[in-house]
Amino acid sequence: MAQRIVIDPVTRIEGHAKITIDVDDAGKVADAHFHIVEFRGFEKLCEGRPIHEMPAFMARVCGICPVSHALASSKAGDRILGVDIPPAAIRQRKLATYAQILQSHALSFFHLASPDFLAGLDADPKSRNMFALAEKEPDLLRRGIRLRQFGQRAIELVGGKRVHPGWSVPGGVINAFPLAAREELLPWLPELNESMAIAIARLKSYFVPLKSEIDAMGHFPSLFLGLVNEDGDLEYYDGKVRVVDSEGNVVAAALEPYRYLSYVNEASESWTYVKPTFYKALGYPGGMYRVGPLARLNVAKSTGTPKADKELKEFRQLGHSGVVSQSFHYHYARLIEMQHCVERIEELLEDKELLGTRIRSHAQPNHRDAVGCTEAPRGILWHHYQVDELGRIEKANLLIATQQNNTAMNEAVKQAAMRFVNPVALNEGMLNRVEAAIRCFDPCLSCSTHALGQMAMEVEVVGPGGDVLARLGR
Amino acid sequence: MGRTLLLGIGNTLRGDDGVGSRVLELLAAKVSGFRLLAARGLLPELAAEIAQAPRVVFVDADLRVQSVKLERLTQEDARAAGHAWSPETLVVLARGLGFSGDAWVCRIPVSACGHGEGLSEEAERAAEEATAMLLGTLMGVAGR
Repeated sequence: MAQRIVIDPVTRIEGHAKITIDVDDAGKVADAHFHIVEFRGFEKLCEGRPIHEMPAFMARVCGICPVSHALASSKAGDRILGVDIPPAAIRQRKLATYAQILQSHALSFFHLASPDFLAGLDADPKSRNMFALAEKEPDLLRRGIRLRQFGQRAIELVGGKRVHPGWSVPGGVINAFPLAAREELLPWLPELNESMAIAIARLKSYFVPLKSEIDAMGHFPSLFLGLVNEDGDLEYYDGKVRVVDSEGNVVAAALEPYRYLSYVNEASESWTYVKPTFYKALGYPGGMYRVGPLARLNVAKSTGTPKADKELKEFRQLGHSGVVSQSFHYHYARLIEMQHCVERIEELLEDKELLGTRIRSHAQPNHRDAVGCTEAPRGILWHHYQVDELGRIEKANLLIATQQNNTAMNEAVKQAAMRFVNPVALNEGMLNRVEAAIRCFDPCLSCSTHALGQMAMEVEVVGPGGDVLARLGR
Repeated sequence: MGRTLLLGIGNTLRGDDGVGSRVLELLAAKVSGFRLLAARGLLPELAAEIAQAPRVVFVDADLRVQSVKLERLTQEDARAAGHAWSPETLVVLARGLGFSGDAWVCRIPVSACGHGEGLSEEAERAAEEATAMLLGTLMGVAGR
């Protein structure tokens, strides 16, 4: 190996990571890796905690998707207790799930990813951020901010807090949903529908100009994995796991979420703190699969809501046999899911069961081992707990979306680097395309922080002897 | 045009860091002409709130000052934006969303921002002083 190019940190993602691009003796890109350089150790911190504390504690894993962690934990807790939770509690949990996916996707698309399209992949980094968009595209940015604002407010009204709500517990939730909250949220919906139509049309206008990027920023075959309901439609809160391949073949139609260890497994690599996950039947790394918005739309027959389904038909045209393999279209899938969430929120707000006051089932621990599963914004999330006779955690295993996407993100980085990076004439636009490949997946690394385009970034070309041959900084 | 927005910044679970929220409580008990909003931290969606106001005042704990200071924000700078938002960066974003008013920062001296609820005696006194200063400065401003 003659050289190594390092992108550190990767910008406009959730957390800290770096990319290395290995260059061969001929001066061509030979390999690339996406390194996640954080270590948090949450699983160990869980040990000894009472099961009833776990949802509020697990919400702290992530500042962007605390609802997902709280709900996966609550669902594991429901199973530890061995109870069915009341219908009103299910509706509250679902409302919080839709609101969270809406606000998280809004952050990803409008704040982090859209500067790449709207300002241009080759634009000066100083004008490729949301501050520049505020000057150039104030209406679009305002709509993005308000979509996130709505999602955060809905979470606050359901769960008591915008970030790290602790209202969901094993057996249900702790507060009834007030009528006043419903009345506050309903008037937002026409604006949200309008904003989604505008954003979707705007994104689609870039498909032709960005064709070469779309074809080479993570366009490859893989498995796709996500939850579906009993009709095979898009599902976030409950349901069975479906796996399809890039040819549209159903690899597994309805796997039980709680049996996840029978079909997925974790590998380890020396260059990252993330444990890449793979589909067991195909081994590692051949069992690479993708999760999250792109995967969910690929595995589902429909979204089950009219506006999102209309868009889903167009989405399917972009792929092969109805399965879309271009990672760039995570962005499109993300917007379709946002539209779906707006529609589902409207349905839930019109559902009188949401206002029910029987919200919690009580029991002592009846089981020692349980799995909770839900769809987080970035993909399927598992919490697996083993408890002692008093319900104290003896062992916890969390399987999060970003680690499940890790092998695919590596492939996307490698493909983008090989297509766009010329090591002997590096420029910022080349490296931004490699970063943009990662942003398609919206990885959440620290699960609590997010970076904007103004972070320092340094790229080094390092010779075989460790000497820096070239350096690019911003 | 809406009312002057006062943003009380800080985490009430970190002792004196919550002094911004305390100032909002004191103001709420005295006047009703301001829009009062408590925020544990600064988030981009607050730019949309600022954009609807004729004026914004960030009320925040500050370990670096010895006495209450009410200052006009003179440096609006997006370059510092990263993991943490500041009043300066938030105002830049709000400008893009239509905010044309002036921005102020009320810095309140604090000393104990460890784990736990409640303010130190010094921070409580400073909160009362800040409240009086804000009322004295803002009450006479048109469009409050």
